[in-house]
Amino acid sequence: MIQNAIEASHVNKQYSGHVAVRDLSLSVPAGAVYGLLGPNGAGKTTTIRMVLNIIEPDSGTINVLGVPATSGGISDRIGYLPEERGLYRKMKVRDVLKFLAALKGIHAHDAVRRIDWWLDKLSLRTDERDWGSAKIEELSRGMQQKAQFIGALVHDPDLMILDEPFSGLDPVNAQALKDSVMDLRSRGKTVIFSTHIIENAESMCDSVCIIAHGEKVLDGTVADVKTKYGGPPVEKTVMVQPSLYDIFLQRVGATGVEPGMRGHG
Amino acid sequence: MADMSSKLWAIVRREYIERVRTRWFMISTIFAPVLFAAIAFLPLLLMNKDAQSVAPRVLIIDATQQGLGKYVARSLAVLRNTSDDATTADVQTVPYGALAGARDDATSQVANRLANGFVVLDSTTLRGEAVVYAGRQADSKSDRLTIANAVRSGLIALRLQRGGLSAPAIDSVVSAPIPTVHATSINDAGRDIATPAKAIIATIVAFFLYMSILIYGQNMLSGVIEEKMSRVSEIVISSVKPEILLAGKVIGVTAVGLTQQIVWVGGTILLISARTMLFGAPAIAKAQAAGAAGGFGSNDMLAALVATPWSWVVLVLVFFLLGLLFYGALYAAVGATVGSEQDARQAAFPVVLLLVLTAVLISPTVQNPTSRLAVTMSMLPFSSPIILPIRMAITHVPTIQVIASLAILILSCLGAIWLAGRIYRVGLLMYGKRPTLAEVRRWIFTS
Repeated sequence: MIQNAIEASHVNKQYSGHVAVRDLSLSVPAGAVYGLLGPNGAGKTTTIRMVLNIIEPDSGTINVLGVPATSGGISDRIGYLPEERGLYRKMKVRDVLKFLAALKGIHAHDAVRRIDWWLDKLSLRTDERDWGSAKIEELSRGMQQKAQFIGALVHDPDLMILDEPFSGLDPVNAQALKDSVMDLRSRGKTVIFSTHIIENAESMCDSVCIIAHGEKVLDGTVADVKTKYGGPPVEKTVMVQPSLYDIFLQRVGATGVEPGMRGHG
Repeated sequence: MADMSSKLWAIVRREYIERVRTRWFMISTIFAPVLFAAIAFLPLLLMNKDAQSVAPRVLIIDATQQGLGKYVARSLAVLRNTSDDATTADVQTVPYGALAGARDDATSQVANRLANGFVVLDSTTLRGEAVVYAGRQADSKSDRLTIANAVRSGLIALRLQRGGLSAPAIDSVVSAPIPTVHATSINDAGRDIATPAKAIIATIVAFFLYMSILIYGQNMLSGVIEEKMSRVSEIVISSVKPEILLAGKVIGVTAVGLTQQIVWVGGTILLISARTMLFGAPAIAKAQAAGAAGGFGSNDMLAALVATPWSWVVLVLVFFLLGLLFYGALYAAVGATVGSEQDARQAAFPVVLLLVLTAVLISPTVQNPTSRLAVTMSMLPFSSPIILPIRMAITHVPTIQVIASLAILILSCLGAIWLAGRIYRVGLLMYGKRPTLAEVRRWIFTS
């Protein structure tokens, strides 16, 4: 068992005119949920793309799951949900997912079984309706995001990379996504997600790396970071009413699709 | 590693199936052979209508008292390419005094559609001066020519009989077959130029090639843009190299175009072979004979279409395939550099210009397929897929030119795919403003 799912060492990437990533080194422990935090334009997406070997670093090395990121075949063990989402609008959900599975080397027969399992789990296939046979464009935005999420993990990857996974998701779908992420971790998978919503990171991550202007500001386990950079603990007692978010979850539930929801809900 | 070829196959398969499933593909695929067949059948339909004026039955009223009628009937059958003269002409021998009555009778038969027309042979006919022909379409020039020829042959036979030639000998003279004329035109430069039928077929084929390449090129462009804008490409290239995605798309789109062309060619051949069923063998034979004799110029088209050699059809498909690869790669490269459909229209302009320039050259090439312009254009990769097939349809193109053109085109395809791959690799991840030419050059030449 490898110790670190990702090992990046002194990575630099420059685009014409500006530095996107400068001397970045980080280690992502295997089996952890790892948060890549930073403001917009900090270099999170560039870092992720280099890990995925979509772009090559100008200098430095990146090892993914124990092998160099550039080695072929490693992509079959990685799942990726890009920041801005979309799928082939005219294609049927199941066909798109089969296509994405085929790109990860999953055979059609096996893919169908896995897809149906996920469609059931994320309530895209219910007694009422099987959204798997609907076209992507017929799905609501939340449903499309769920379909894309299935596409990212249909091949059961060892490393899951989610770029701003919660942007544009309503609380119900966000919770469904969080549940799935926690589920992956419990099965020993490594999950990296980038976000600029720090609350999400704190509630989910084992370790974090904060980057700004293409450079690492700090990294470590959440507990370490808090100890090292947070100063001495401060005791606060605050009386609060349940948040609107809590009320929403309580009333609507976190199952994904509300009863009677159809299409663009 | 799940091998690259299975991933490439997955991309090709998606591109192919998603395009073939569209309504547009279905309609255009079925429409073209019907159009082609209509062009081939139109003259036949007209011909058929025209042919009927003499075809089913012509009455021959023979008042010569010398048996001219039977010879005229015989030669009429020969001219119409039918073996049975009784089905096409009835000979009625009448004394001169009964001629008026016989004409009235024949007129009413024509009026009642029992016959299509009648010919009156009398003493003036015997002298070779005149013959009366009345019928439903007596103004048909070809019909009048046929009647005049038949009567002349009849007169020759009669004179040979008077000269003492035996009946079988006379019959062999009258039944001498009408040869097919293989016409070659000579222009001012002493070279052969297109017969109208060949020219029309070549133009139509060229037009279809042009349209196909344009449509599938645009199709490729919008496909790439859709993938880029929806960020699907980012997911795909996290699994396969951008070059594989590009290759898959180009192969998929080319396969769709090829499928359509094969259906077009196959459908046209099928419909044309079904013409016997639709029109009946005599009509076809007659049409072909008439076409060969020059009586019905428009029908040359059918003859030319039927006579189209397979080697040409195969070469057209090969050139089309390579043309689609070439333009497909260029369009994909353009698609990767832009961020929206609007930008794409502008960015694709140079590529469209190459195609339009080629289209403009179709007509000059048809008119003069051996001109320096036509020869040059059949060598350049952007125009050869359309121009060379035209030249080959109309004139004899030296084998060395065909091979050279193919070689240049294949090399250019490889070059275009390499170039597109370089642009694609970087362009797919670039959003926002359109890159300048200098930036694109940097994408191509820096690793």
